[in-house]
Amino acid sequence: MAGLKTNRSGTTTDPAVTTATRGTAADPASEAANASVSAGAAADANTDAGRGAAASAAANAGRGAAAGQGVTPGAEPGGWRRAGQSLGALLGLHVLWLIAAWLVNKPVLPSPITVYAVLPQLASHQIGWHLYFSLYRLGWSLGWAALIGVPLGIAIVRLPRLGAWLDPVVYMTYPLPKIALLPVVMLLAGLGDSAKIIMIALITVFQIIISVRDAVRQVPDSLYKQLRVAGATRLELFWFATWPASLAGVLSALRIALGTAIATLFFTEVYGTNYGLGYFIMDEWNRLDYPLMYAGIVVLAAVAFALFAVLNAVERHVLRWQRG
Amino acid sequence: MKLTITDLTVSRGAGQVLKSLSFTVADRGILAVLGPSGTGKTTLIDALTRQVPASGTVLLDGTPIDPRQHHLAVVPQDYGLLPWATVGQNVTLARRLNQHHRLDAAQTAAANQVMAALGIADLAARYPAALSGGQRQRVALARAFAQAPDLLMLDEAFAALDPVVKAKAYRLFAAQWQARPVTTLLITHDLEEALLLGDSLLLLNHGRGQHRANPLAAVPPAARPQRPDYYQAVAALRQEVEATWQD
Repeated sequence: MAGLKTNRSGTTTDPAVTTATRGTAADPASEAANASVSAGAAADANTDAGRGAAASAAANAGRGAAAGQGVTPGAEPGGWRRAGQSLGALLGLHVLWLIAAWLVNKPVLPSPITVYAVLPQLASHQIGWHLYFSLYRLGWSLGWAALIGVPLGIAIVRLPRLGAWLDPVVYMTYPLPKIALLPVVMLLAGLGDSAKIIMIALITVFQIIISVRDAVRQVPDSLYKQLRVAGATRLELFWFATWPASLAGVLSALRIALGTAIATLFFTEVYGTNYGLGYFIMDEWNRLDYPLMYAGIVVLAAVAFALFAVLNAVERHVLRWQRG
Repeated sequence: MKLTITDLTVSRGAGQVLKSLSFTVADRGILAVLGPSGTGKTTLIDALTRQVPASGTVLLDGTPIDPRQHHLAVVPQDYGLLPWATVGQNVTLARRLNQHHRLDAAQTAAANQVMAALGIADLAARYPAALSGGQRQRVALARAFAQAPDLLMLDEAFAALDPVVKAKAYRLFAAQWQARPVTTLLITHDLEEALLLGDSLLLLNHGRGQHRANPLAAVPPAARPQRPDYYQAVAALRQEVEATWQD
C-alpha cells in the first residue's frame, strides 16, 4: 500500500502518524489507548479508562461513551432503573413482613415499624463496633479464600499433572459439612478471630476453586494457540488468556461465597466473642429484646445488600466485555 | 518471504495425518490448500506454527520457521478473538506481544489504517460479543494484516459467513492483500474460494498433496468472477476432486 512503510524497527514514512498513548502496564484493559482510531478514539479511551477492577466514575463514563456509539446488544437496565427495581423489591418484602407480623400477632415477630423505631438505639449498643468486627472477619476470610482458591482453580486446569491430583481432592472434600469442623478449628486456633476467619475461609475456598476452575476450562484451546502462534510467552498466555477468563469465575464465586460467608459468620460469632453482628443478634435474642434483635438482622441484611451491590458494580465493570 | 516445505510429516497415534508433504509458496504468493474434512488442513497449519510435532523442514526465506523469530498470522474459522479485549486491543495484540506490550506511533497508525480499510474503525472500542460474524471476521483479518506478517494462514476463515457477507469479505481481503501483499496459505474446502483468491492450488487428500496451477492466476481476484473461464475452472476442479476425494 502506498504511503505507509513499516520496518521491523518501527520507523515509518507515513506523514499522518498519530502518536499513540502508551499503556503503562501489560494489563489488557490499559492498552486501549494504543489502538485509538479517529471515530472511536474518545470512546475507546473512556471505556477502558477505569484501570483496575474497582468500579469508578470512569466506568460510568465508559459505559456512556460506548452507548453513544449506538445500540449495545444485551444492554442491562440503567442504574436508576436498577435502583428502582431494588427499591420496589424492598418495599414488597416489608409489606409481606408487615402482613406476617399482623397475622402472627406475637412479640417474637414485631412489625417493621416497631423494628425501625428502635434503630436509633443501635448506636448506644455499639453497633458500629459490631459491624466493624463482622466486616473485618468477612474481609480477611474471603481474602484468604480468594488468595488460595484462585491459584488452585487455575492450576487445576493449566498444570494438568497437579490438576490430576488436586481435582479429586476437591471433589471429595467439597461436599463435606465443614462447619462440623468448627470445634476442631477452635481447639487448634483458639476462640478468637483466627478460628472464625479460618472457618469461613475453609468453607468458601472450595466454591472459589471450583468456579475459577470451570471458568478457566471454558477458554478454548484455539485462543491459546492464537497467542502461541503470535509468540506469546507462558506469562503472556496467563496474562492475556487465563487471568481474564478466571475473573469471571472469581467474581461469580465471590458472589456465592459472600452469602455463605455471611451465614457462617453469624454462626461463628455466637462463640468466643463479644463483638460482631452475629453475637449482637443472639445476645438480644437471649435478652428477649426482639425488636433490637430484628434491628440487628436488618443491619446484617443491609450490610449483605451493600456488599452484593459493590460486587455487582465491580462485576459490571470488569466483565463488561460479556455484554459487548 | 518464500515458504519451502520439504517432506513434512505429522503423525498422530498409529497413523500419519500428513505424509511427506512438499511444496513451495513464492514470496507474496497465495496458495489455496483444498481438501475434504479431516484430511489434515488444520494440522498443516499446526505443523507450520510448531503447535504439533512434525518431521521435515519448513523454511521461510531459507530460515527454519519459528513463531518467536517470524511474524506468523493465523485467521482461524472461529476468528480467535479475545472476548475480553476490545476490537482495537485484538487488532494490536500480536504487535504488543512482540514488543513488550507497547506500540510505537507507526504501528498504531498502521493498525488504524487497516481497521479503516476493513471498515471497522468505528468498532475499536467495542467487544467481540457485540459484533456480528462478519464484523468479527474483519477484526480477525485486521489483526493478521496489522502485524505485517511474514506468513499469513487463513484456516477456513470465510466458512462461517453467509453468501452476501462472504462476497464482501472476499473483496475486502483481496483489497487488503493488494495493499499489503504477504505470502499466504488459504486453507479451504470451497473450490470457488480457492480459485477466486489463490494463485495456485494444493489438493490435499489423506495427508498427501497434489499441486495445481490456477488458470486465472494472472487475473486480479476482483475480475475473476466476471470471466466465464472462472466457472469452467470451478467445474473442472469439482470434477477432479469428486473423483479423487474420498469420505
